[in-house]
Amino acid sequence: MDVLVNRIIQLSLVDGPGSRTAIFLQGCNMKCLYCHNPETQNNCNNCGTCVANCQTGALCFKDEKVVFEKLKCVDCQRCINDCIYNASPKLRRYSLHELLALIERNQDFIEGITFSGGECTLQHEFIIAFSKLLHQNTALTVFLDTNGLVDTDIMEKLIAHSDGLMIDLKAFSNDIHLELTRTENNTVKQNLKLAAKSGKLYEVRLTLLEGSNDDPVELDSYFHYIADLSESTKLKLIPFSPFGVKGSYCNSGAYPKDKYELIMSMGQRILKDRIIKVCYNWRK
Amino acid sequence: MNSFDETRIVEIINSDKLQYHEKRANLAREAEDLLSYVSVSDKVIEAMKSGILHDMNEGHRPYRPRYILPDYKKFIQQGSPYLNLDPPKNFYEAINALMILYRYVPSITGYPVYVGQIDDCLEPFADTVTPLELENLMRMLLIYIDRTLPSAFVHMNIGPKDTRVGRLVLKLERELKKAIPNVSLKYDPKITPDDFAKYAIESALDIIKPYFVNHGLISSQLGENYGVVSCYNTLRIGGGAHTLCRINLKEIAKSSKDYKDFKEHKLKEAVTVLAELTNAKTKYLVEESNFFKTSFLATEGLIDLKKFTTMPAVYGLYECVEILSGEKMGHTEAANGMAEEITKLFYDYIKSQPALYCEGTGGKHGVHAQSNIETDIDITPGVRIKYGEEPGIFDHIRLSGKLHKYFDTGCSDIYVFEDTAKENIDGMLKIIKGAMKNGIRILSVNCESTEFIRITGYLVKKKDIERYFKGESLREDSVVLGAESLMPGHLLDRKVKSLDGRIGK
Repeated sequence: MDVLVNRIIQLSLVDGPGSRTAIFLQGCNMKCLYCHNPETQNNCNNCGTCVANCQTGALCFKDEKVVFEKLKCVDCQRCINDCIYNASPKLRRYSLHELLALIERNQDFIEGITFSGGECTLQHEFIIAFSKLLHQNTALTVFLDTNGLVDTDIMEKLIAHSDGLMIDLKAFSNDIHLELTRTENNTVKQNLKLAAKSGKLYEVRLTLLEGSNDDPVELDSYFHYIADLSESTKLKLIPFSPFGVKGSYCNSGAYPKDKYELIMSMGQRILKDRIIKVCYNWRK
Repeated sequence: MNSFDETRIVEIINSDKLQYHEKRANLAREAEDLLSYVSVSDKVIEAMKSGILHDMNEGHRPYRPRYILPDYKKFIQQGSPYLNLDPPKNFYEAINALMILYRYVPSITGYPVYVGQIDDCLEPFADTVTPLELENLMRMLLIYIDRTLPSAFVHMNIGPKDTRVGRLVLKLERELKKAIPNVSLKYDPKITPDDFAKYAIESALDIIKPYFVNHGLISSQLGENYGVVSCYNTLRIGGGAHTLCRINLKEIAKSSKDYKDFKEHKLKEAVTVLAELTNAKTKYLVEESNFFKTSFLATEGLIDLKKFTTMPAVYGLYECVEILSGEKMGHTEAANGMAEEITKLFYDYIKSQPALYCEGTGGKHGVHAQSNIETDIDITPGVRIKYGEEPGIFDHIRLSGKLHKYFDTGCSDIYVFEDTAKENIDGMLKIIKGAMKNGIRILSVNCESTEFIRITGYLVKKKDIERYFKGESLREDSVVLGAESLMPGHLLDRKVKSLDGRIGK
């Protein structure tokens, strides 16, 4: 059994509690207009645009397939930026034991790992098998960062085998969710309930998009929904940043700071200290 | 005596840039250097001319040890006949006594490089004043140190225990936001509560202070009574270092035919002249200058020659490995293996050389990783990885952890984090614990956005560097060193750890 990985960030301080290694799995079932990691959405179709444009020879063709040589790569991101299919030529497959060896090496420095993406739950069988293995061999925790769009019976299994979940609810209204992600949010809400009930819902995440999901009425419903989900559910409020975005939001500016502050205080009235502000450098 | 250059003296006396105390220090140095160099062989002189050996511009005739760590705790307990001070009975008297003694502690810079294990010195008096007085008095002490000892090499120690005084140092330093004194927290997960460690991490991510010091590792080498002084030098309290001379590993590699020649001949030869120069200076200091006979610090037992040592050092390991292997340290197993082998060889060679007055490190030379001076160009400090070429943080820590243990008188790393680290103090604590477990000796963690910059180990304010380049007269001479270091050393290229620009998905 193996897993298709976009990249691994050995140290992440923003993907769950404490110090974590974040594993970004390839493939997504939403097509968010403001996606920050568009290169994680699809699999490479070997079109070769990136091979022709690679300046360092890190990419080449072998048996009509794009092959990536890590040592030659200078991380210029050109292949990612040039790809019109929202894919990446730098993907790598890891077996259960390869990934375990890599994580075990970092044990002294991390509290655990976070499967992110893309949409990690698309590779749920690997996640479940790997979580069992990791729990057997280490004291590390497994967190999932998911958009919540997965069958509820699979979600129940994932909850059972993980230690915590971060779930995006990208909009409260189905219409806005549909417009932003091309998918409906009914399943996401069902899964949020399941996760909240299990006590493993670490936080819900909302990225604020100006003129889209930040209408006061929409947000009021959103905040009350979170407040009712459980007594302890936290909401992380994230201002949109154009960093890495390729979709129609790529030309939008960062979410305005004054509006963000206003919405934070509105959220605090309803959610008290359960709403989490993020550190964001508005100068970027 | 060397030929007398009257114009140099006149330049100093009539300078329209220097303050009085700077003129006096420069005149003293001119006088010292009128005398011939301490007696050394031609081989030493040749090695200095070729750039392999460097004497850190310490002067021709050492008449005070480079670094001195008075036993301030002993001083507090016994007072000082020379200073006509009885042992302090309350917090006011204790602070006053320290402020008086600081003015009498020499070093290579002219200012004390160590102002004490301040919690051990003052915590016993904390109940003699109200909490508000305690805070006000600590603030007064810290401002006094900054204004009267304007050198960023002045270093204060706290920890590993959690104390009111230790916490106040961090709280007030964050409030006062000044470069001086440098602060080190001795950290031991068995003694330091997580809560105090996290308080210190919040401070470090704000103002870079404190340094985190691997108390377990250093105690096992020097005993518990050690201090962290100047940049990040670890020496015994009541002792110090007579001198610090260094060899340039990059130059030694360039002069070697191949790695075999480097290991078997060139490095050995360099270590031999390094030891000779170190011993010559130490011998002069101890036997000719009479420092230990005249200083009241010695006669009153606040320092003891038997606790002193020397600090022969290396720098430029990164370039050395690059020249000899063609590979980058931190990035390939071969380069990392070579880095470790060279470090161990240097350690073995220098420890087997004759050593004078080194009882502070068991009768053998101390071993040091020197982190550059302002005139060094295209060479990486000590055994660090070239700025901008650092690997991922965990690989970086694993490699450094293998090297740091060899440097019993000092070695440190600097890790820069994104500002998001400020919201994940638990995660930062885990990293620090992991780093210590993996053998990191001393580490600095800081955020990109801080208004300070750690040069080698000492701090300067970014604003003061701008003021220096505008030509303003500054109180701290270390700002000059820091500003000049910024040009060739590429400190600003330090890679930010946690390369994670994502804000949302």
